[in-house]
Amino acid sequence: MIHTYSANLVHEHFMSGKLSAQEIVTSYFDRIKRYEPKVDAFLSLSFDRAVAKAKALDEKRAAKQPLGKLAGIPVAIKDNINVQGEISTCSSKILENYKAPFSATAVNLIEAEDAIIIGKTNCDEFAMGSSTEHSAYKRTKNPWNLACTPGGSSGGSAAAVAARFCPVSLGSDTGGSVRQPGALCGIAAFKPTYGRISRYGLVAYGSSLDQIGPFGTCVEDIALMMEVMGRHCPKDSTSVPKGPDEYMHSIKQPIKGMKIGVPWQFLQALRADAMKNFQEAMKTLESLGCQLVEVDLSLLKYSLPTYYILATAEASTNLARYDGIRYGLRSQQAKTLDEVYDFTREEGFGAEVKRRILLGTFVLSSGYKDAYYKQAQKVRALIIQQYEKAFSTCDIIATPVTPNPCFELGSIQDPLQMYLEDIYTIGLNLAGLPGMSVPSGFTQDNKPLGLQLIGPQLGDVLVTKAAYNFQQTAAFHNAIPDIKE
Amino acid sequence: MKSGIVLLIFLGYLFMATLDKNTVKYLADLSRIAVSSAEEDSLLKDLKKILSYVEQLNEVDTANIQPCTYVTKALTQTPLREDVCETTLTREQFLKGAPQQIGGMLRVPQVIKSEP
Repeated sequence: MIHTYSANLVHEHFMSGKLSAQEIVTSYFDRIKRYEPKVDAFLSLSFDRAVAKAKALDEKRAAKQPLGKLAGIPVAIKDNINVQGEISTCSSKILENYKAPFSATAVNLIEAEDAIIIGKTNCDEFAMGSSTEHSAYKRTKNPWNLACTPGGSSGGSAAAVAARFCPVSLGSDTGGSVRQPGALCGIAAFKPTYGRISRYGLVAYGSSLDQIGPFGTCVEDIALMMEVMGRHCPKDSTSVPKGPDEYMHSIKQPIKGMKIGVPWQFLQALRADAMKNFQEAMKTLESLGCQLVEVDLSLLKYSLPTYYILATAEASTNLARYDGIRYGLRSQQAKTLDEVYDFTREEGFGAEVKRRILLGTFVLSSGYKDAYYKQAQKVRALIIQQYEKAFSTCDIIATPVTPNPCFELGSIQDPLQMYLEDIYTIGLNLAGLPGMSVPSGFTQDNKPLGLQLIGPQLGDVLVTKAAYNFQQTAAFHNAIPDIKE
Repeated sequence: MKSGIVLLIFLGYLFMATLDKNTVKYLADLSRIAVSSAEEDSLLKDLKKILSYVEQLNEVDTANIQPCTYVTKALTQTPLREDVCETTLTREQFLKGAPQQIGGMLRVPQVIKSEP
């Protein structure tokens, strides 16, 4: 039964003494043992670490010592977020067996509040992908449909929560990598404002776009995690200099009178069932007293090309550090220093990572930088302006999260077609905006669909409040996938 | 400003005409990745396709637009911290992650040739 609880409820039962931390951990690990062979969400499990922490928490509670806001809550961490002493491969061969020597700020913050880390989850290599199929290690399956991908790149973290291996988990979102798998796995998933959660200890992919974000079975659990993780960190120079926000009380206030902007023109190509689902979600928001207004986001059709220039440019720079010398793998074939670089990177990186490094190198190379990179930064400035104009007429913006529900493993081979899966999520990363993916129903063949609610920068609480109100009325978050053994 | 757009489109076509296996080799060399010739073919195919897709950005009139440098409105410049020493990783902790080490240092193949 414990696996059906929200993180908030697990914590409440631990604090009241109804459950011990050891009972909680044992219960979730039993479930993992039973269903993980079908789902393949994890790259590594930290059973001993989790049991030791649970034991310490039980002792603390018995001794009536103060306990943290997340005491007793098991959390899974995407493998590109450092947890000290644990393997951090980023699902890449180039970091096989690499143990993180320090923890990310987000990990330190949740551990300081007594969360229990249970393992590291599978993802696309260096978070580059939309299906988790670009992992060098395994294919994660969608708990709603084991023939399908969970989305990506944070597919393992999304599948782990959807399968109820843990009530909450962490992912990272560079172009939709938290929101998209959240939607495809039928759970709540949040990308905060750029700079709201520290990137310190998150392995860099596209630094001006990357943001850590939480997954949960419900919006209240996202809120709880944000209260802990959303704060300034001096170790991240892009961290917003602002203290934590209060969520738990604020999100439960009504949203009557809220103006919801909808870019109808941008949604024209949406398939019929997804459009119907989105229209129903808009009716739900109207029934809560919200007013729909049309907004112009026509420039978003350029968000994908802009993203694939900027993200790959940043990736080609960030991934230069994997040189076969300082960490991770070194090619056994290499005899000279040049060969250490060339062979290690050839053997260590997968096809998608190589593609993106080469593309990024091209758009930054002499003679092409102005035509590609600089032009993309200018279009990015225009996209930011268009969002700002839209927010002058509405409080939040609503779109679907994805154009399609979850797709079958191996069904998308063309990289460009895979990129198009992120068409509705990528604009937020370009503009640094917060966005929540909240379950909005199912297709006829029982695949989850998600609604995306978008706020202006630092409108994180506002977005969470709208998502909570929607969730309480729509109530699609209570459904749990029936995983075939 | 129309001429600027025309120039960009022209540059795009110029590149499309010149993107070949040599370009892929050159990019692989800049990226320090030894790419096999089989990989060159598939990379060339993918890069051509992706580049022709991203070139639609040339349609956008960006005359007099400043390129984006800072995304976060709350930050208009990089904040500077006090220049004080702090202990982060020890040498031992750092070296634990390195593939090869010797005498407390990173080990690399010989770089400087010995005297004949």
